[in-house]
Amino acid sequence: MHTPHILIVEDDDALRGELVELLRAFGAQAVGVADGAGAVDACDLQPFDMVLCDYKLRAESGLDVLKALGDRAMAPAAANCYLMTAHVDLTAAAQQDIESSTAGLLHKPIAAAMLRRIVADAAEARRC
Amino acid sequence: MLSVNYPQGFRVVMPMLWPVALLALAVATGLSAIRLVAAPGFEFYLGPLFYLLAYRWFGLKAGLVTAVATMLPSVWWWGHPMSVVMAIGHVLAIHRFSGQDRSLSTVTFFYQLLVAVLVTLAWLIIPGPLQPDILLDLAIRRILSETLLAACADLILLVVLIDPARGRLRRVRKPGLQQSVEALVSMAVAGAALLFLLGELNHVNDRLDLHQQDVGSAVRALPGRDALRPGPVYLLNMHGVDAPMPFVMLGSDVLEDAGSRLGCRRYDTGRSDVGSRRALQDWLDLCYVVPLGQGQTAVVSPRGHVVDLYNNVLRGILPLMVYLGLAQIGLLIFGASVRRSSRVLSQALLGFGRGYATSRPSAPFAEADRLLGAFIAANNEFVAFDRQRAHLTRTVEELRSAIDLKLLSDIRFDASRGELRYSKIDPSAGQRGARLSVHSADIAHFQSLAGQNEVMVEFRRGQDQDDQWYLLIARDHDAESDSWRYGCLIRLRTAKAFQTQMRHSARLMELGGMASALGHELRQPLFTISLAAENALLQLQNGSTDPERTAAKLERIVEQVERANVIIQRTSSYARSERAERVDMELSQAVQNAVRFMRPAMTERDIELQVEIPDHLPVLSLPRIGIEQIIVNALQNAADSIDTRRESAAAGAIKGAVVVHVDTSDQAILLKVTDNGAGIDPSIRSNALDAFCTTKPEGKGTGLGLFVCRQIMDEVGGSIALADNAGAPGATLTLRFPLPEGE
Repeated sequence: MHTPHILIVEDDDALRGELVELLRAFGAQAVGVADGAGAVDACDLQPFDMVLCDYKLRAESGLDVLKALGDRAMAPAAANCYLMTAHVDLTAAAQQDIESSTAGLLHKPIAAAMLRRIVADAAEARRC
Repeated sequence: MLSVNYPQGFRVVMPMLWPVALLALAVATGLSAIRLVAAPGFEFYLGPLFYLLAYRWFGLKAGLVTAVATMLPSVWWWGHPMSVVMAIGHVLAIHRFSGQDRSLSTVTFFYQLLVAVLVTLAWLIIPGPLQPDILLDLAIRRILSETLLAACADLILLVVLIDPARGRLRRVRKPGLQQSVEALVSMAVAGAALLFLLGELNHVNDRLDLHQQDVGSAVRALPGRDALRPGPVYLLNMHGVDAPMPFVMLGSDVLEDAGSRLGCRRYDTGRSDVGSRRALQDWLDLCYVVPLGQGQTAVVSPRGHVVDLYNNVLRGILPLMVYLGLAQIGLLIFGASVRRSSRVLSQALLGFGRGYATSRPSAPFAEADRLLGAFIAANNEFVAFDRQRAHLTRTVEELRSAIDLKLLSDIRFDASRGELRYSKIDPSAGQRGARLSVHSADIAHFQSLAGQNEVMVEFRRGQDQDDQWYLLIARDHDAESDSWRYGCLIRLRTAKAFQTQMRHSARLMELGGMASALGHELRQPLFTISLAAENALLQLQNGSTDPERTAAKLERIVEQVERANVIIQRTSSYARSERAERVDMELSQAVQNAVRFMRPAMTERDIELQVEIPDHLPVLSLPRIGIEQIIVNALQNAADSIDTRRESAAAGAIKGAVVVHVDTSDQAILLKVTDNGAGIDPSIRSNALDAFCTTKPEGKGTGLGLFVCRQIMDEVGGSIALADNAGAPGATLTLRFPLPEGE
């Protein structure tokens, strides 16, 4: 099976480190960045099958980051982008924004089994 | 109509009514006993004047008694009580037909006319001793004299009124219209007729005086006078006298025997005084005794001539009598019209304001009709106005019963007495001055509002721990009188206990919001913990033998647990629902605690939080948790407002900034939380501090935040104000903490 490439955009350093480590353990080629600029840079260096992006980054919205990545040739299709959020009660406006983008929504904490499936999905996406 | 109210005018108090009344009766009887002979054939007496006045002033009984008393002397003259009977009939007729507003003269005229007709009819059936001419003369004389006397009584009654109950004599200030007109017309017409009659009768008298001399001359000049013998009745024809006059020659027989053949009862030799010829009956009974000389004497009866002369007078007076009759009939019609006008007007008056007048009744007189038209228009206008007023009153009442609202004017706060003074505007009772003492804890709040054009303040009543809260809204401040022109006072239905409960539930709702934030904060370390644990587990499963790597995972877990613990501890201090007791504290402590709690969230939302607190602040007695809660709330609102501004397309990405600034003045400490967010939403600018006022999305804010803050500030005697920043985006929330007195 081809190794899926996954980009992690997360401003919480500890969380980002652990997530990258776990996804690697699950067999993915994971790269962690702290903000949108880092994500764009990463996508310019290598192609990614999937992006997991924090919804509420320190200075920007995950949606904006995904939008910025949409222009990049080596960024994955929008359908393979996920927003991660710790908010269970997102505002109606935020909910609508997420739904209008094709990105998926993952609620923190994300279970290990779910992360495994995501890696598998990323591998599938690569094959298409 | 006789005035029943006795307006200003002269008053004569008669303390001993009965003796005075008896004396008056005696005087009236005495005056009535005088037989007044105005002309031959015209005698009258004042009796009717007295009994009519007595009737009107003292009632029916007095009228009847006076009628009998004053007419009794006529029995002596006439030898029959006919006059007394007619006087009684007169009083009864007046009593029956005159009423309150018809004059005595009109009724008297018709009564006497009726009597004359009845007597004439009676005479036709049973011919009496009187000739019809004489009868007619009597009737006319009676009608005229009594009508005139009644008109005199009317005029007196128009001026003087006796109140027997109080024993007072008063002047009538407002005589009745109908009575006045009837009395004056009767007086004018009957008076004119009477004067004419008197003139004519006196003329008759003069002519009869002359006639006597002519008759003497004519008899003496008779040709063949010597041939006349006593015994037969001769007829004397005179030039200018239609009726031949019978005469006899007096022989040896007695004068009375000769005279009886001519129907004579009195004899006049031309030497008797004039007074004996004043009465008509004298002339009718009279025979001239004409001495012819040479022992001859003729006795001549002028009766036929006298009757002719009277007939002439009667023919002259008859048109005037008809005129008087027509005038009286006219007065009757006029009176009926006046009564109808008066009735229509009074009906309209009584119905004033009771409803719209849809049909327009007409009054017989143009003046009354115009008045009626104007009155109905005024009535309809009034009714429309009144209904509108009633509707407004009802609305105000409903509003008042719903929220216990008082409308006020001239609202002033008397700081020295701690009283609120105002005029209460009551739709039913008008404007009344009132005052309300203000709880000492709220006085400072009032003072801080001095001079503001528009204020809205909640305060407690009284000096003790009264539960009653009021909301005062006042506008239009007048600097000169230091008062607000108008406003309203609302008694808040929420008792203190309920308010506390509400505050509690509001706090719970705030906690709901906080729990949401807490959840978000906890999920982050929780996720990290789960990832670290998963990674450690994988290391173990993969047979990793590097203990440092495993230890690093466990350390990370411990570190994240600690992070979560801090978050929980920080929040739990706000989770206590019971109100914290007041403690002596520096405001800076509360600010620092709140800022410490909020700083991570602010950092996360990329908002710079700056705190400016002077070194030594006065120590205040404050509910620590409550104040911290207010500041946390203010910071949260500031952050939300910055987010709102960021979301708006125009602003784009801005650097959020919140400044907490504390300043001291002579009387208070001012804490300001200034943000560079979206400012106050215009739709809630006027009521941002009210309960349930929010612009946050549903489920995000309860709207109770600022309201609760205001309640807490009210409790400490402070105030809270929210205003847009001058010349810059964002808003500033100002908390004012009054310094204790003497500081």
